[in-house]
Amino acid sequence: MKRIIPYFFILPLLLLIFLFYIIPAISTVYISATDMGRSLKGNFVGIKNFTRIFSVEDPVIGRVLLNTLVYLSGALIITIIGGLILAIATTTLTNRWGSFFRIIWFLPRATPPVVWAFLWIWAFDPSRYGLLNMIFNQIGLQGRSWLTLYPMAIVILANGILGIPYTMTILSAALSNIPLEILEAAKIDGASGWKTAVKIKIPLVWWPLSFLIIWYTLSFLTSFQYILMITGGGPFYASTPLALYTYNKAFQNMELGYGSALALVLIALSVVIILAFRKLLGVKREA
Amino acid sequence: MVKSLKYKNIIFGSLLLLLTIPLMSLYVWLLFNSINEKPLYSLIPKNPGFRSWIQLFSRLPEASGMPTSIFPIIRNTIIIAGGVMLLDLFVCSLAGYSISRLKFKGKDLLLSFLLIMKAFPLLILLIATYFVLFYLRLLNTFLSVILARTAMELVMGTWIIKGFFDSIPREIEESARIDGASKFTLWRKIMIPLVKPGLVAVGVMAFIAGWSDFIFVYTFIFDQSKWTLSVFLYSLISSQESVDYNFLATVSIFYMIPTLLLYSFAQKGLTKGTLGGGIK
Repeated sequence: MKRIIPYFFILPLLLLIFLFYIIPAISTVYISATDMGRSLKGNFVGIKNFTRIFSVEDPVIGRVLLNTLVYLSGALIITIIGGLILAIATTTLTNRWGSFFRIIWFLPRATPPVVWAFLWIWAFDPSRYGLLNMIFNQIGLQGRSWLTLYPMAIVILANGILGIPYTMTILSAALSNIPLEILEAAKIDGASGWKTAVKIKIPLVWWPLSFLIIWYTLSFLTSFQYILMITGGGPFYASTPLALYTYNKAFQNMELGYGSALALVLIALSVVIILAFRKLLGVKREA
Repeated sequence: MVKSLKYKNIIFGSLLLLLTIPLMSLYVWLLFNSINEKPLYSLIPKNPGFRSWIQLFSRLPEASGMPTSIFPIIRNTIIIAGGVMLLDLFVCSLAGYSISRLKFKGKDLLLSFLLIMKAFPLLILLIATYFVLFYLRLLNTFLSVILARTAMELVMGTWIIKGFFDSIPREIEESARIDGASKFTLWRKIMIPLVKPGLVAVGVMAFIAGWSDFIFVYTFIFDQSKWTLSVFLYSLISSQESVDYNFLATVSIFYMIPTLLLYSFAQKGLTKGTLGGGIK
């Protein structure tokens, strides 16, 4: 009896893990080998779904993969550089002003996803009520339909900025932990503010920084809900990365089999990214 | 020295201001639109009024295929948010305790699995989850969203609560055990009250997660009578009919208020709790 008790405590957790991670993971492999559609019943088709991905049979897949690369690197640069700039700036300022700006920059995180998406849709609305067009009109320029002209740039911005609050919080905590003596010593040696930032502060927060880079690479690779809401992936796949393509194939075209094959490609990419980063960062930490 | 500090403050202050103004203007503009009678096309609200707030709580604006009252939608959102909160607290307080205090086979395996789960967002398995829910006859129920959301939140919650349990001195437990309390009584009567700040923080986070959820409700729920605020707002945004921007802004602000309040509350509770644990 005594030996069983711990399992009672852990049982609800195990049950949920089983239902929502293990069974779905196995099912993904199974579904990817079928032609499952709307009926949720499928015939076994072997690796046909995968040959469809990696051949010319799917004419947009090349474009989707290129979009994934552009979206991922764009959003990552904004999240990391933006968070780093804000963290350095708010920790350099006096305490009161620093925390004032940090509170404001926490807003995106506390905003429900649909509202965040709506803010961006509206800011770039083609009518004169759109925020950007309103500014354009007031300085005497013609408004534009931004969402069809620059869909990718807008979804990169919306997703990238959403990552800033978290990066900023973690990095500013790391920066405030740097011993003051090190910064004093740098100052006495005549290092400028810019030089201290690049040569001292960034290397000292390298560990949290690299954690954030891995974290957000994986998260941007698999996130799609903001793009789904802001542009829906369009116009004509212009802002569709792989994760959204997977979702749309599965739930708009109801091609669950093909969608699952795409999901497996996403998982494989994630694993490759984790392994690659581990190798890169491992080398860095030894040095 | 003092002069250079001042100089630095000005440079970083203006840099921050430059970055923050666009962000703030988005929110200010949302707020101003919700308290104006007509959509803004300049930054100043020219016809202030609460028309859309009154609409929100009386009869929603006419639009084909849209609900007529906000109250069932609010109720649904609360059911899902409350459900996620209760289930997450139940699962995490049990699991956090057992990981922190009990010995069992496969604990190390479980811990590393939890970490892997955190690295792989659940959304990658969304298609298969849909498939599983279909066979469990759970599609189009609140329970499907509650379960899936909790599954997504539980790693974080378990870690936080485990940390709180770790900070409780073992002597407290020992003395209770000598008095003959069983493991469950011990957990319920002694340990749970001691980690209350942790439970509050995790509960609030779970509530916010359920409250803000979009993708699960959008994917698993088909009936309009089960819509939540997120799907309602999304349907308004993407509807083909002409959009009433003031009303959209009002729904957005209304939808945001609880998350903002709870976030500031949880933030405080979490720092307080961890600090308290550290002092002990």
